[in-house]
Amino acid sequence: MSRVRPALIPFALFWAIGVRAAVPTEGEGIPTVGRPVDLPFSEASGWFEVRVRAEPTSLSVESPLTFTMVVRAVQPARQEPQRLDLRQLPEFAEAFYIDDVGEQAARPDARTWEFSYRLKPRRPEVRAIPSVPFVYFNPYLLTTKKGFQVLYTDPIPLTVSPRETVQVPVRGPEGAFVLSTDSEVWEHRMPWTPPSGTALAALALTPPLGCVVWYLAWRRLYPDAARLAGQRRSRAARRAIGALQGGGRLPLGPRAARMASIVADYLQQRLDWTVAEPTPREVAQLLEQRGCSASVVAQAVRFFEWCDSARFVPEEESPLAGAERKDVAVRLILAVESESDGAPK
Amino acid sequence: MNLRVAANGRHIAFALLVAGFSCSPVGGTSEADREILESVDRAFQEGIRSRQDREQARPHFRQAARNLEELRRRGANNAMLYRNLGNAYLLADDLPRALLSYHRGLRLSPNDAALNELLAEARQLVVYPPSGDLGRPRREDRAAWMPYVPGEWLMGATLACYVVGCVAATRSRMVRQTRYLLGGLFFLSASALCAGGLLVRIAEERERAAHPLVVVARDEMPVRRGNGMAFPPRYETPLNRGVEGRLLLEREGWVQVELSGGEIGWLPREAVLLDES
Repeated sequence: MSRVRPALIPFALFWAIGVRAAVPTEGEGIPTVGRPVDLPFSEASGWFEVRVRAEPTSLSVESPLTFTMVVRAVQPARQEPQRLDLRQLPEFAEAFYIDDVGEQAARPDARTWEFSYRLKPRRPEVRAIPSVPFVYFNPYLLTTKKGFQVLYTDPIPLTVSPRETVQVPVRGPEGAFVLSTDSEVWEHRMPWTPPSGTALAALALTPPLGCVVWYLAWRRLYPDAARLAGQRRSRAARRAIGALQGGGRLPLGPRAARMASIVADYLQQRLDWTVAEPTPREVAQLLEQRGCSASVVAQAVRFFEWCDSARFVPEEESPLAGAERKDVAVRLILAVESESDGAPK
Repeated sequence: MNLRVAANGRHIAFALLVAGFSCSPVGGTSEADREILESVDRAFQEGIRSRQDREQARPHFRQAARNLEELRRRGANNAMLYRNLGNAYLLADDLPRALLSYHRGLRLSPNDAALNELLAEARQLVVYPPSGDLGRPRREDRAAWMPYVPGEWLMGATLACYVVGCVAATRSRMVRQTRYLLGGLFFLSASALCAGGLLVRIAEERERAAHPLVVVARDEMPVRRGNGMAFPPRYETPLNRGVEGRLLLEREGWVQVELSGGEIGWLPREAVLLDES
């Protein structure tokens, strides 16, 4: 038995403790040291072999195929393999849409695990299912540094055809399938925008101001026309003359009374008179006070005298005479109008 | 002489009437514009030729829409352009942009029957919630037979009636004839009537400027209670693309929108199209 040199005893103890920690015995966990960091770990401990199969291997884009990975234990497994997430493998994620068929592995026998996936090729350029790296821990190896093993499955060739497309027509109203190429297409039109308050005020004030200016200029340029306009028949005269046109079918007496009443009303309105049923003398006085000429006064007296005589001393008279009296009344009103400029209207 | 003065008054009235109209076409056509329109026509016709297969046709319609947008960027702005643009977007399956284009065209030409019809048909493609009226466009208050009177028309009519009424009233003062007075009263009454319509139109325009149109551009957009994903949805049913509303507020990448039924909520800014024209 060789002697151990005392200086080497600490190193020997350190080696023994390290090995003890790294190599698991049955029922112990899998070490983390030495585990490949860039590949998904199956969590399996034992001695395994792996096979893969796919069905179908000829399909169209985005059609599903079933990919099955069969893991078989060559020696009794100390820890069962877990399902690998193929999405963690870039070759798979880029080439396939990946659906898990089921979380639980199928167990055809005690030593076999079958993991199924549904893969859909993304593109027709996908030529094969790439190899899957199966990482497991092998406690049966003597050299613990090589305890983690990686088995690469064989790629499975695929034939992916372009997707069979169903032609779907463009939907839309028939009016939408029309393109107008008239010259109007180039035009630049601005939508209407409301004017500002200032602009609205200016537009509201401009016409009346313009009309006021127009009216003043007209009065200045045409003074005679303005004066004549002031001497136009007043509203009272128009109303009286209009009223005189009616009442033709009445007997002479009532007709005369009606005419006298109309002319008296006119004189009340036009000359601010308050007498309701004036006598010829009162009419004469009024007109003289208002500055009417003697002929107009005489004309008025004659008219009212005739009316009185027709009302109170009825005598036979032809309808023509009545019509003439109506004309006399109209002429009287027009005469008063022409000689009463400036009176209230 | 009086006739001459009256004629001058009529000229003033006409000048005011003309000033009331602010809508007039401007601008010319360049060779580049023509080329763009030709390319639009080519792409659109190609799309129509392959309309039985939407996968083939849609890229052509999209190309036509892009070219029409280029035409718009170069200054074209009219109802026909927007009708073409709406058609191209609609056939390219971009419903929100189609709706926005039709609305823009109708703003320029409110009585365009084809545009109104296309807008109505495009709205039928919007997927509204099966129950309730959330997001559904409100029915127009105006009767279908009644034409929309544009603001510039109302303004012109108001001014014209106002001027004619003032002139007639002034003339009645000059010649003391009842017919002028009656005519003046008639036109001033008509002017007041038109002014009422004009005020309504001005209020509508100001409302539209303050709250522009918003069209939802994505499907399944929940209307939230606040401007953030942390806020819960206000309504159980989300909105789909094509639903229209009015912008109330914009804040930190979110927009507050009022839907046609008066419902108010927040949507992400990138999920809506905003009529900023």
